[in-house]
Amino acid sequence: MDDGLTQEAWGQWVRKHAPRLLLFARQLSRSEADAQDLVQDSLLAAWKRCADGQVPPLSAVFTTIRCRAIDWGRRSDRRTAREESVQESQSQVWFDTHVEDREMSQWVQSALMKLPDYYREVLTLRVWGELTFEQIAEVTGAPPNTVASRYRYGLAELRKLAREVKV
Amino acid sequence: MNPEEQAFEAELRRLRPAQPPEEVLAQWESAPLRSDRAGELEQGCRPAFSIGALLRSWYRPAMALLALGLLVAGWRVWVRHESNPIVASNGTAPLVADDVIIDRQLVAAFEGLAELPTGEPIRFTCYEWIDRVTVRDTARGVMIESREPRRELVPASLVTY
Repeated sequence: MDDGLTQEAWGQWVRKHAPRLLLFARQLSRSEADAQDLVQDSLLAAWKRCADGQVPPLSAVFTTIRCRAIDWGRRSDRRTAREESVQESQSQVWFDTHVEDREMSQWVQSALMKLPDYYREVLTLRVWGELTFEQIAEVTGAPPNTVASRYRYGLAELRKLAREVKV
Repeated sequence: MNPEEQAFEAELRRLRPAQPPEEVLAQWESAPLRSDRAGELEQGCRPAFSIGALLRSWYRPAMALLALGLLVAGWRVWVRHESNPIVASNGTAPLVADDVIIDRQLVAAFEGLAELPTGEPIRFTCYEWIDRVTVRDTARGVMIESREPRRELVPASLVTY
């Protein structure tokens, strides 16, 4: 560990952001193990890129996760990946399940799984990743206006799906 | 956004992403420590893609390929040298043989009688030769002579009654 960014500061940063990074990775990967590997690789890459005493920008880590997930997806058989992804996602738990939020977390996860990828990633990055539209545009490579409209439409679609799931 | 949408968004924000398992978190925290490139970190920020990184990634395979090429080239030169010994020792230019003499000299000849394992007698004539090859390069004043002994056995039929 160098003098700039201490082990303690790095640990705090990881603990703070790991849940939201893993949530994003889970949505992009075939299995829980793949999601964890994605986050670890991306954290390490971010650390190597920026070790001048500053913590890495969160959007850069999200970008790396997204790029690597695409690369891994290309390498593996798409059909198998999709089948495994559906099976694995149903067994994963994306949100903390405190007693009062357990029901809500279940229907949000179910509704999110049914959303198209381009809505889901924008919603996840905005709501739980706490990124701005400009940062999401950097991560996804789409223009900020497109990102904003995807967010609006995605939110509306999620509400609609949530109502169906709840019924 | 209308108030309903804002309320829905706030409701979503209330959910917290699930925590990774503790052992996984510990692994991520210590990941940079386990990285063998940790020593390079003090160099500061680097772009994700750089020409330097690209060249570094090609350096080792290129060097391996070059070494292999040199090895093959060296082996071919050696094979050529071995198959054609009439090359000047300093390797500047091969000899030009303007006179080659191939000769053989009979040294001895005698007859012998032996018995096959089946008990049948066999007669043979034995010749001993010296094969001689002489190569001359008169321009360079070089003469190379090779002498090899050779034994030749010629069986002869034995007339039996």
